[in-house]
Amino acid sequence: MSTQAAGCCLGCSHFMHEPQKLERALPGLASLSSAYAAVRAEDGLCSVHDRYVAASSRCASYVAAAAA
Amino acid sequence: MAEIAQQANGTLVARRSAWSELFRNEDWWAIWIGLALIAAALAGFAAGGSIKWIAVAPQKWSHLADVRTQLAQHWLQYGALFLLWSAAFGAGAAALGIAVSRFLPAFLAIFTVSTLIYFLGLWDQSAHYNLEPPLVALALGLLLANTVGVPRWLSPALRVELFIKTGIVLLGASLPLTLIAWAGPTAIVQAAIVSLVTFGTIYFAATWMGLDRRLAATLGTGGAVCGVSGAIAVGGAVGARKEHVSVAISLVVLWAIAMIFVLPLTARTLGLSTGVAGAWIGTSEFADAAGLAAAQAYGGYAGNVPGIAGTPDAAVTAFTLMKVIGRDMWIGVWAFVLSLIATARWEKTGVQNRTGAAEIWRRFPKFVLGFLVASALVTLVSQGYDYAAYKKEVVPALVAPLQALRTWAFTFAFLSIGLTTRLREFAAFGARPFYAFAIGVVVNVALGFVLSTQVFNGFWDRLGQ
Repeated sequence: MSTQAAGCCLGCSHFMHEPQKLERALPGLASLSSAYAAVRAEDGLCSVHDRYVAASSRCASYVAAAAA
Repeated sequence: MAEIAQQANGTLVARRSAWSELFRNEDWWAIWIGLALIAAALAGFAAGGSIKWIAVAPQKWSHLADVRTQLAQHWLQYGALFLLWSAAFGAGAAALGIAVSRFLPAFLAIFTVSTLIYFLGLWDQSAHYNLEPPLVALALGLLLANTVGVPRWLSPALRVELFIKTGIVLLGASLPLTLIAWAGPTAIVQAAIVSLVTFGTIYFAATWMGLDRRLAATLGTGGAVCGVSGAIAVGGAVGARKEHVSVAISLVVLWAIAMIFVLPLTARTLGLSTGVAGAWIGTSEFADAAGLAAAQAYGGYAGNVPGIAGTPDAAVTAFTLMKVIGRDMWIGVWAFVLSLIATARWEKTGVQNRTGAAEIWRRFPKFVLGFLVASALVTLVSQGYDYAAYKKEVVPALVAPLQALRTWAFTFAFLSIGLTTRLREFAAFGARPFYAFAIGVVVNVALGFVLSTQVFNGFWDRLGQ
């Protein structure tokens, strides 16, 4: 199974959701929780809106991430 | 986890394999590690043996010479146990993207210090000096992290959640499924009352003080449901500002750590039974790891501190039922409902939230499934035994070794909490978020105390017998 994310935060270059980077960006997160936890789903940080958003979110500032 | 792929038409898409989640998520790794250990224990038991050789644990001691004797007699077992944990957690760490070559030396240090703390807790004077292993581990970690600092090479092994969730899965093996079915509904009712009141208190206090609704909801869930995990789940679901998520994390961690010391010491002063105290801690602590530290510390008073009734395990059992079954399981529902409200009723942010009901499952703390499966497995195996035979045969050969492994996993976690809590790195928070959260804490602690000691006390007392 796969989930498509074209146009969503998950596929956007402004979206950062890698666990290790998130734990560095949010001090204290790893003390009593984790960026690898199921409750986080695939939420991450949007550098355009400076918000912590769900991966399925959308906005007008979407810029496709470079292909891996 | 997702990977970006390019389709034939040039559209960039992110693909996420559901199967990959089973190996790239701490919840699932806690399940695999916990259930693998339980399966090994069951296989050994079925063959007429036990894993107790490798599930070595310190015994009570009075003089340092006793410690030296224990280590001399059992050093091979401690070495084998280190290798077992290294293989299990090393595999998990590798799957999470942490290099095994960096994890192992760091874990050796964690294992060594945890062994010393475990031994300290078995000193026959430890209760007299309040040297409960969870509190010592936490205090030592906090002291190091906030004075001399923690070397960077130690960071790869400081996986609080992986350790604590593995311990909770192992804990399932010592709780009969019938007990969970009997106590679960009461835990859910008590937890629901406190969660709703606490969330409402923090949310309305925060908005009354003029704070952003998304910050209010993030703070409220952090205080009412499951601490930092609750805060990040709801922060993401409602699209909170980054600084607001950081503020919520800082407040939750600070209060949770304070409560690790305050709740057990207050309960001890009041002479609460282990079951009642565990229920109170389960209602009023914010995070699983913090609450288990408090509950395990309190369980250690049973039989060591005059006036503390109940069994040592009752505090951890009551806490787990209240926190895991009563509160943690519902975080997906909280996130989903609040995301709907945020989308429909709150001010627009420029980000369009498209969260659906599937979020309830996606955010479900999967380790709870491992906890329940562990309970079901051991309950099934124990069915052919009457109570006397269970205590004589099943407990020493099957349950006790798993309890020892659980204590090890918890000790790794408690030490890691302290070592990862670097106060100077925390986000600064203003007076208003602090007051809003503090009001919620006061209401939560008071209501949790009344429900645990006055309303449902008979129930929680029986749990400890």
